[in-house]
Amino acid sequence: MPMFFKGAGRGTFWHLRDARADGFLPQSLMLDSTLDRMMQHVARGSVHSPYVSLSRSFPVARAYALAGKQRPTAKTPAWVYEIELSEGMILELLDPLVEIAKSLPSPWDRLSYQHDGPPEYLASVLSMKWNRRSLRAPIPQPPPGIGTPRPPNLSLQLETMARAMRDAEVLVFGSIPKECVKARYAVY
Amino acid sequence: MASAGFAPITHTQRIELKAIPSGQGLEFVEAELFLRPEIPFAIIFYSDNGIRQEDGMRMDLDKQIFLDHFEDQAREDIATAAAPAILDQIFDFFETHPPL
Repeated sequence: MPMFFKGAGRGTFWHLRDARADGFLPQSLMLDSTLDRMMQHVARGSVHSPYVSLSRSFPVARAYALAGKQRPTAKTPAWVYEIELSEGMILELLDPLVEIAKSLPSPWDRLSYQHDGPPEYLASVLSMKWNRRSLRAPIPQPPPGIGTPRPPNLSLQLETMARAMRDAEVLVFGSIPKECVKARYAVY
Repeated sequence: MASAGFAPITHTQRIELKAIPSGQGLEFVEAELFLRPEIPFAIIFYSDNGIRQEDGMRMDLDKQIFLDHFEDQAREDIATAAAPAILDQIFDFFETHPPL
């Protein structure tokens, strides 16, 4: 059975509420699952979402946990939940990359999901902290090299895939029963 | 439950936020920044009608969004309007402070 993690920083909903007792619920349980909602959830942090985000990566969940509304300490730590899911449960487990890939346009299409920036552009998208300038830099144009200066194209599909990859993110459509929440680790 | 055994966070720095758009009694005053590259978030602290709040608002620096929200839409609009100026000041800081 695959194992997943979810970070809960101090002062956040799943820190104040023990998911070992309640399981996890999405913010909007009644909404349908659609590709657009999925992209808004992953890339834009939409609050109207029928999904619960999990990560395959403990360090990713830990990073979310450490960056809570308050700083965690040994006395008041943040939490990383460990979750085990199995096929056949009444929930849908979705990989955003797989779902988006199904919808990508053909390479013959004039409109592409791909960027048209320099080789390091995607690395800048993935990690903005020290890379903002390269994201905003105008791209070199093909000869004769004139035209309106603009930064590279960043489609919502590519941005969503980058965000999902950063977080090793999978989505649960539906709620996660408390029986699946196997442990809660303190981090600070 | 025992700690997972990682070192405490020591590499954070708070910066004062200046001239951020405000309203509805909200004023964004300070950002706590993680100087290690593996934490792509910042915590934004604010005062509410002049009273400094203990809880900050989490901001994802890659997505450039707040992860926390106000229930009141007018306040949420203020936070949304303030985000670009907050991000500018945070990224200005990182441009002059290489990762640890």
